[in-house]
Amino acid sequence: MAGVTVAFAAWMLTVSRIGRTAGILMIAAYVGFVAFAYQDLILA
Amino acid sequence: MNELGDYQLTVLSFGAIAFGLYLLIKGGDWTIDAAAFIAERAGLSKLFIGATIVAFGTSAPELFTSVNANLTGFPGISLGNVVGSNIANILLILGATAIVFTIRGKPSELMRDVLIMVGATIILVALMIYGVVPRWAGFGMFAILAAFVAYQYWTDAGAGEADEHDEDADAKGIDTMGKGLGFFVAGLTALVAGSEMLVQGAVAAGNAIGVPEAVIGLTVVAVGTSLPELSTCIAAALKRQTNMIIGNIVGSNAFNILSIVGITAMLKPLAVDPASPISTCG
Repeated sequence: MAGVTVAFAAWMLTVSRIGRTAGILMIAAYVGFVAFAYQDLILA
Repeated sequence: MNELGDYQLTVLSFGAIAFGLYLLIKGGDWTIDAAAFIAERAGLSKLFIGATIVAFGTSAPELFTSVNANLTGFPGISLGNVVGSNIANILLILGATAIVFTIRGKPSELMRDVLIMVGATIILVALMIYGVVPRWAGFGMFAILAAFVAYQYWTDAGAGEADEHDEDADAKGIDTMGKGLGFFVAGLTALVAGSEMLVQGAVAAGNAIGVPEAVIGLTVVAVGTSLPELSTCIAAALKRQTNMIIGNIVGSNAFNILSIVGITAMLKPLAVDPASPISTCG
């Protein structure tokens, strides 16, 4: 969460724009996070 | 007889999902129009409204879920809900909104709210490493939030004069402060009720069709409690309210930590299990 928050903050304060490609990449990253959390949950 | 019961439960569950989605879409629409109207009339900026009232209203599902989970002995669900929602808000909600409409922000306007969001995140991560969010920390987090809202009010008063007139509010017949507040409360109520119906319907549907509860909780519940933010952001994107989109997400994430974790810990100290996946995700 801290990594995502800091990266988002840095992006908005420098680039200040989120386009379609970035949006698709963000959703892909979220799917990756869910897969990671699910795997972690199963292993736990 | 039992099979018929399962069939009826499945149909009812999917009906609840569909009606919940409808309420979320209408609620987001009403909330945005009413908030824009109130901001215009009160002389406040849309960024202020998005970062405070709308953010708090759309965080209501997380608040109810987290307080209830901690009081009933499931602090992991309580904290996991906030951590998961904040990640979903940025990656999923902003990502989906950006696909519909390119999001642009002004760094000078965003700086203050973004710093509060980052500061709140650092506080939460430090407390998670500490192993517990004690009662005093809960009061402290809520005090920071109250000071932030008061500061925003004083600095943003009068900034709404430069914002454009909202024609959608006129189309809905929102022409007085009373009607504006009425639509705003109705919109937030629809958002909360729609989110609850969607989550409950999805859990019941998952049980009826045999999907494990853990999978439903990890996916549908976490995303479901963030759906008010999604519908509000999509509605704002379609209305080209860029400042409200970013204000909503930044404000929601700060509110999620300072108000939800704060209020939850004020009622009962919030324990953090270092071995749980939530600690890794923090």
